[in-house]
Amino acid sequence: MMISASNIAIKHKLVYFVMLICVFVMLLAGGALFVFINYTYRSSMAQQIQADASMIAENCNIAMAFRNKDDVKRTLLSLKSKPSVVLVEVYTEEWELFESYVSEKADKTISPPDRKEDGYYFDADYLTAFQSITLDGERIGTLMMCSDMQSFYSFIRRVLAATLCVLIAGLFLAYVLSARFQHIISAPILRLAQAARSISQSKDFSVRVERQSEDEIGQLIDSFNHMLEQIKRRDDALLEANQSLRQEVQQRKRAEKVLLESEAKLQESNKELEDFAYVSSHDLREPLRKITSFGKLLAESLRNKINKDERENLEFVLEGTELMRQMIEALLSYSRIGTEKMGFSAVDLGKLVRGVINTKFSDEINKNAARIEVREPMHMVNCEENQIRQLIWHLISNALKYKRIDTNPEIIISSIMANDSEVRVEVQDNGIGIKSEHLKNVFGIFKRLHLRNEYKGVGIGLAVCNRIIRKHGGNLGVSSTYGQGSTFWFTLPVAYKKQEDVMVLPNREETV
Amino acid sequence: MFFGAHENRIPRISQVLFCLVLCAVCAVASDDVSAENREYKIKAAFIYNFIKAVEWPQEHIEDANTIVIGIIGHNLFGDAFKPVEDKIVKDRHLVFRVFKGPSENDNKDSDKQEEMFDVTGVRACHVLFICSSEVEYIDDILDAVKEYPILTVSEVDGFLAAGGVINFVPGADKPVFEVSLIAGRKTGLAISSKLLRIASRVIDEESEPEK
Repeated sequence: MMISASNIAIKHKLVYFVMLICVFVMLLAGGALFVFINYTYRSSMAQQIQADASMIAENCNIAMAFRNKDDVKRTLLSLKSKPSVVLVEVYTEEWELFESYVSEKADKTISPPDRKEDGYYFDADYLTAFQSITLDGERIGTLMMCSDMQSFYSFIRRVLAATLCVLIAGLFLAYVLSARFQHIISAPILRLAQAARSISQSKDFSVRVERQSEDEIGQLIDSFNHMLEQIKRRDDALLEANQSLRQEVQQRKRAEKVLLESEAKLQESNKELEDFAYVSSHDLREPLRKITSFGKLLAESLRNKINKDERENLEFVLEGTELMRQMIEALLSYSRIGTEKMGFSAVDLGKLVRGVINTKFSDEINKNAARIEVREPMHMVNCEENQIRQLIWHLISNALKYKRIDTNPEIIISSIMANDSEVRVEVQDNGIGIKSEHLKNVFGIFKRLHLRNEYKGVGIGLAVCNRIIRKHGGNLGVSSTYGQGSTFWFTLPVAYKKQEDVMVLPNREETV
Repeated sequence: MFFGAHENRIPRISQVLFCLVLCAVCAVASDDVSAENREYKIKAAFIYNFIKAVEWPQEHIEDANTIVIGIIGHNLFGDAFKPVEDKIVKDRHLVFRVFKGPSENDNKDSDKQEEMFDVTGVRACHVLFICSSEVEYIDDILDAVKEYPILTVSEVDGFLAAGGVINFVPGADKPVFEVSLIAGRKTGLAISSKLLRIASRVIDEESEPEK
């Protein structure tokens, strides 16, 4: 029955250990006592036999001196009263056997030890004592007395039996008492264990264990209760927090809903605005064409009939209509950017830029002795090709337009990885630059920093670029030093090698 | 010398016979002598042991370092006391004194004891052995020492009745002794009961002295 000591119940452990200790202690005590008794009995036996021997020797010394065998024999026979004495021999001073006595009980021949000095000698079966017979200090013979050890052995047997009985009784008593009293130690522990078990099952942390003693168990119970208190508080706090979290989540959900709704509304109104802008500008063209064409007819027919001032006024009216036409066209193309469907593809920037330069700007480059450097290789980006072409055209056009008087325009176009997913393209020029207080205005619709006779344009180019980039989910910006040049930059999502991979931008605005 | 040369042709058998007779005579003769020697050797040993078994009273005559053993009469002890003459008994040396007995004295018929024997010398003894040669003067001698703590020993019949303390009587193979407690008490000596046990006869007040 091999049970690991740690698996036995506490109450059994207590009993076993008490019993074990009792066994050891009793064996030790019993053993020590046994040894002591053994020693004491033997030394009392030795004392006794020596006393007897010296008494007999004293008694027969004169008879011995006179070599009177009868008297010596008679003296020896008095030992009949001592059944343990089995053999006595009297020797002369020359070690001749003078007289002897053998008890009737002696069952086997005894071989006494060799002649020795006065004293006692234990061997397996007998205790032998030698005693000199002296008369007036003169040694006249020796007495040898042998006593058997039977009485000793039977005494030892009785002692052992008694010890065994006491041991068994003691163990029994130890068992009974320890079983009866172990609960003093184990009961509170068991109660605590039980409480812990039931609490962990029921998850009711408001239960407490009653403390019944002041000892370490009591302290344990106190700590246990304290822990439960802590757990309960945290549990309650958790519930509260949970509750408020839930509320917050609900609030946020509601807010999100509201946001989504307003976003939808915004998108809707945006679309309406875009449609409106497109439709309006589109519809505005027709009446404007009428004005322009009939104005031109009028100017032509009245050329000779009106004076110079009147001719100038008419010229101004036609200029105005022309300007308006330009503005409407610009507005139309601006709004188109929002309304047209965008088809994304992976575009080689370098190829696109070179294409724009070669097809659109070759003349102007020659006229102005400009130099446009395209820093190869440029990245592949995911974009709407036409729109980006437009954007590049606008930026290069501006760079060439806003050149310094006596300087040949030098433009550098390059691209770098702004981060893992975006490409940053830079168009750097050595033109007139922009004053810092004007920087924030350059991307506005119809915003111009110069007079119409200084530089041409309606002020829609950068606004268009801005709208294009915003539709691509990128950013457009400028840094500039007035009088030295400007650097326009924009970011676009990078495209991967395979041309088939088409990345769809997250839908910020609905496409038509 | 008897069995020397072949030339000496005394017949062998007679030589042997002669030797045998010579030995026999010697044996018989020495037997007698040795028997007597042996008896007195034993008596000497006994007397030595009597001293050990008897207590003298504290106050006594003369020397505290000696025990005087006096022998009065025809001393047959010879060198019987030799084995014990150097021994110490009760812390005392043994001193032996031989006195001429009245029987040997010219004045044996005198009325004065002093003239019969050396009374003073005798009175100085602890033990007095009265030889059998003085059998007729036992009473005189005993009378002279009766007030004194002397162990009187003898080897004659009726010694105890006369007032002696210990008397040797002939035994089967060796001498035996008898003790008179009456006399012992009179002399003031204390006799060990162990001695009395091995005496052949003890006379005390209740019993009739036997002759």
